[in-house]
Amino acid sequence: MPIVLYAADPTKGQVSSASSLEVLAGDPAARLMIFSGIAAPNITSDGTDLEDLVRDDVIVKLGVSISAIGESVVQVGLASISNDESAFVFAIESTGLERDPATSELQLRVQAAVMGDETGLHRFSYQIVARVTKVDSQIAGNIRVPRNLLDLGNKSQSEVEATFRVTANRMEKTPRPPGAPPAFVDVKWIKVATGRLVNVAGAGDDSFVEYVVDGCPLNTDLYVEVEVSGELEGLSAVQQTGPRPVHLTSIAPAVSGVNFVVVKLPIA
Amino acid sequence: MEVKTFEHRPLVKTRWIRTHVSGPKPCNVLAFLRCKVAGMPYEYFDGELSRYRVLFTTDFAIGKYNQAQHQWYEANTLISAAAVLRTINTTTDFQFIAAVEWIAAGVREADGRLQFTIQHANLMSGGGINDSIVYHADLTAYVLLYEPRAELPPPGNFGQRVALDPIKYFPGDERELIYTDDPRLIRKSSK
Repeated sequence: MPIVLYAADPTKGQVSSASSLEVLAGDPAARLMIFSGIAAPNITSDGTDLEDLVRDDVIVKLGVSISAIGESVVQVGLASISNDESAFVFAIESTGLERDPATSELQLRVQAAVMGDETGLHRFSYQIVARVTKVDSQIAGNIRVPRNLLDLGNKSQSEVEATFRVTANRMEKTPRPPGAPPAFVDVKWIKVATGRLVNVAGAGDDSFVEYVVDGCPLNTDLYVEVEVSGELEGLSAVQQTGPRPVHLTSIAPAVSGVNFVVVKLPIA
Repeated sequence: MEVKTFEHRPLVKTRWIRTHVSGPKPCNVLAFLRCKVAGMPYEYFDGELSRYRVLFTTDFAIGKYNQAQHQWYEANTLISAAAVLRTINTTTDFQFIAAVEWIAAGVREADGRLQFTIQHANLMSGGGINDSIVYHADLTAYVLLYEPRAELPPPGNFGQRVALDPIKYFPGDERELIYTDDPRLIRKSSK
């Protein structure tokens, strides 16, 4: 089983300094994408014989959904190694860039090997340059804001953008720790795409902030979350219409009408 | 335990190449940079893990940088950087950890040069009094930035054959490594 690390989830602490750039490359969906980071697979060995050579596959999930990979260059090098006064091997044996066929997520595959007394290949650095075609997938909807909570009619675009943060997430459940009550459920949201606001419209006693989330992974249960801040601090945006979770496929790669409303939730 | 940050004050010699791109707006230039990671290793602790951060500044500067707009440059200069261990050299068998743990990047307010902070971790133990261990790392970075199109600076400095600093490997050792990709400098360094 390969070691799987998530670059887009800093809370896991599996990939530090993960970053990416995206440069327009002609066609609307074509991009030159650049990824860098320091992945921590923590592969260890304890012995100097040939049978002590530990060889592992490592997959780094890069957090971007694509439909095709064009030309690419992958550079991987050692970033953290240790040894205890013995003969050693530290090796990055092969690298590859691929598309996860199940989710369409771009991923780096590295084969690494290590040998020696109390010896570890703890981290490696990667830098990837690739021409890709992004998935033409999208979730769209709006956020209804009653004017008695906040009147968006006199707000600038930057003020509105600072107030709302829309993300598409997958849900991860962590196992119940020993001793925790049976009802214990720990749910963690893993962000897979960030939305952008496209328009603000007013109607009657409400304002509507329209949003889209591009480049969402396919064949994954996605939960749209809207965080509010600034003058709406302390309030909540709850989903009112549309599917939850959203499940996009290559046949139906877009969903609209995932709508929210900003409300005051009673304090439990 | 608090991790100290040290500033490496001399500018780090850097090679770069720029190319025009058409976005995303407002960025119109993609640059690639390569330099040595400064400040490694900074200090030795016999048998104890030592963690520290080094802030260093490259000699790559954003063209026609305007200090009054520094926050705008920080928000619109996108940097994707990686560092790898490039060489490791020891006089004997050591217990060691050699690590580059994370990188942060930014734009120096005074002059628009690109800066990097790198967290190192080292452990060295088991050698004799005169034994030593030396390693160093390379940094490469892709940078999306904005520069006024009518006044773009030269596209790169690769043609200038920048003479990078020599590395003294061991105290008292006359040999030194010229860390460069210029073969003329490699021949000159042979003793």
